[in-house]
Amino acid sequence: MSSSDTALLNLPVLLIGVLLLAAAVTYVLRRIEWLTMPLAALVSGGLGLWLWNLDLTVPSSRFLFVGPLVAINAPLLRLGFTLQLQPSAVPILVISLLLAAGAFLLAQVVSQGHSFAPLLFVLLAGYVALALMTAGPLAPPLLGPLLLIAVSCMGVFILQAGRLTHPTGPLRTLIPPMLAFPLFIVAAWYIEQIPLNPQDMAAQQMAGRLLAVGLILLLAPVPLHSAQPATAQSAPPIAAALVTLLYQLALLHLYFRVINLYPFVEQVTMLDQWLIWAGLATAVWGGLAAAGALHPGRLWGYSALHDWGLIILILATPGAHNWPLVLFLFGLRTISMLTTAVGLSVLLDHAGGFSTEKWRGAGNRLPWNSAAFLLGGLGLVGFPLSAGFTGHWAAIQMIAETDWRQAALVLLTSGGAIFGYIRLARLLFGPLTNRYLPREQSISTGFAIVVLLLSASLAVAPQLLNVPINRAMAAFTG
Amino acid sequence: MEALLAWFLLKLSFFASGLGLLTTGAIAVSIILFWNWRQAIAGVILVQIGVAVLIVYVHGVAQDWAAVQIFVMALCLLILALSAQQVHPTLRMGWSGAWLLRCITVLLLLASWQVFHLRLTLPLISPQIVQLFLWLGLCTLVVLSLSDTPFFTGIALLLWCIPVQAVIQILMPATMLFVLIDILQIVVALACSYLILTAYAPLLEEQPVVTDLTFPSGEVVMPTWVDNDVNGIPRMLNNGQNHKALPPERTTEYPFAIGGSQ
Repeated sequence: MSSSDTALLNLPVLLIGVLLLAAAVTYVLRRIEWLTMPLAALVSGGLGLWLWNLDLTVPSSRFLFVGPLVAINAPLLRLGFTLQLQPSAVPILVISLLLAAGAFLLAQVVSQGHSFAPLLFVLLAGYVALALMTAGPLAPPLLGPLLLIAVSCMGVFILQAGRLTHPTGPLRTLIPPMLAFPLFIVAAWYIEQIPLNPQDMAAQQMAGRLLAVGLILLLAPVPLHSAQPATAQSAPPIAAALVTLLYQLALLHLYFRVINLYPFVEQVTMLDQWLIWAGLATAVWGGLAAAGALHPGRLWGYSALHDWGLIILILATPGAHNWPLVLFLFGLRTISMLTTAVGLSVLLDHAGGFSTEKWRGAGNRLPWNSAAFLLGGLGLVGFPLSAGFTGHWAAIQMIAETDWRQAALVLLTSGGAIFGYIRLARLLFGPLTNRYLPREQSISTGFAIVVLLLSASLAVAPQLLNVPINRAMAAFTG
Repeated sequence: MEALLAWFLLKLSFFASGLGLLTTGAIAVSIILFWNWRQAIAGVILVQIGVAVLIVYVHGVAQDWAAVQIFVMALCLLILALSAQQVHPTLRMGWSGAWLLRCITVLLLLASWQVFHLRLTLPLISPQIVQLFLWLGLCTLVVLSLSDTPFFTGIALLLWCIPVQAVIQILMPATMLFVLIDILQIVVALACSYLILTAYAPLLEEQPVVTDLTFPSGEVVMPTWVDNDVNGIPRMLNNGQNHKALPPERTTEYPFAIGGSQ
């Protein structure tokens, strides 16, 4: 009897089951955050590390190295959908799970809401299902936007976190996938028609146009960008960073799958040109708006938007060599956003709000977290000696090879965002007005130092990301 | 049950006529013009019924499909209505501007429809019906652009789903995709319903006794909107004399000690 015959569980059932079980347990224990957050980080991180080390050439493996046998390649067939682990899905799963583990640990410092852990586990289960889907009523990349709606709806609850504030940011996250999904489904009908009359290019052209427009809607460039800064303004910072990063990672993977499965999308449309304009508008508007943003949350949101615009611009670069750079930028973006989120959450917690008066001089009492916020934010706009610098520099060089004016424009507008951070630094390290502002505690100082060290090490040695990016490239190679 | 359904759809067969198409389009635009939450709920269910009847009679789609669509839409609207009902004293704060502005928007929409000859080509669907779907899509975009409130965003997204469901059922009836989209509609309605509650939940807090220490802090002037003026703009009755303490959770200034609000 082979080991696969004795395996009791198949991998998709196990992954989704464990995540949903963890959601149920953490929901019951949601008020004991000092206990649930480390446990949640352990579960999520353990799953991520196990998948990272999984040998896909053997049919079965022990769950978390010591548990029962798991059939790795066994499919899960339910309701016309097939979920199965493919080698290309592993990097996406690992990154998502490790990101969540990091967020759980960071949420230990400042609460992101009692329901953060259970809801995040449900969200992770959704993203795992999306990554594992190999067959369905339509081709999986065409069903992707539908699942993105579901995870966006779950994200709404995490972002709002039960607070009685105006929900502009969470609400706007629903709109791009809702507007985009019909285009993918109608495109599926045209794709079905292509083999019936291969000489007729009309069906291919129509499908290509619909998919191209759908992808651009999902990427949410300017003017569809408003969810990102609004979320950064109002949502708990770590939750906002995580939900945004998970969504954008899934989106980049979906983009790759669509382009890889339907190469005619790039051939029959002007997708590259559309992406250039969309990315340029996003990067420019992000930089300009950041220059004028007085609200620290919005400043962070617009910086992230500027960075996202750069990623869209690199997506437009023809050829396969852009994906390593996209992943490199995304990796640096992840580090920078989480660094900013750590600093921002502690600053907010201590200052008790976003008003200028409350923030004036806060850097004197909270120097490490202020530094984390500023350095992370500057990393998002590619400031020298920040984590994002190398990625931005490489991206700007690549753009300049095609058109130097676009590169100059991106560089200039990143200067606008840097101006915003300099203004905020002057405020933070100016004279202290609130004498009762508490000093930062040792645990939050510790986390701030860790993320600062991580950012600084990536700034001086970006090659540290080589191994993860090489592994992640498995998801982005045809 | 099937006979009852057939009788119901037969009674509403008016929607499958030319006048019925115009009526459905007019109901959709009335959501923009009136901008009232009760009227919006009634309008969306009527549009759903109209489109379902139209698709059944013109494209021969199964009656069961129409029944499921109407039922799911009614359920989604019920979810939204329950939240709206709980917060309706404050819901009207989310205005989209004066009725004159909305009229101008609709006129602009009509003008651009004529001037730019907005046309959409969808396979297997008759051009008249495609025009109706295009109109519903444009109405959705106008509602989304006029409002940033969870209620009307929810209404717009549900309105968007009506033509989409019809198109998918005509193009790909075998895939049973409509079930998946129905589930997502309900999830979207739940998310919007939750956001309605968080955005507008009236907070009934005991007023603190004003002392020398507490007097200057946490006090803001909240106007009381009681009625609409001739332009449809809420009229402020007391000229801002009504003082209410605004709890910190209501402001974006509040950080994220979320505690008991979950």
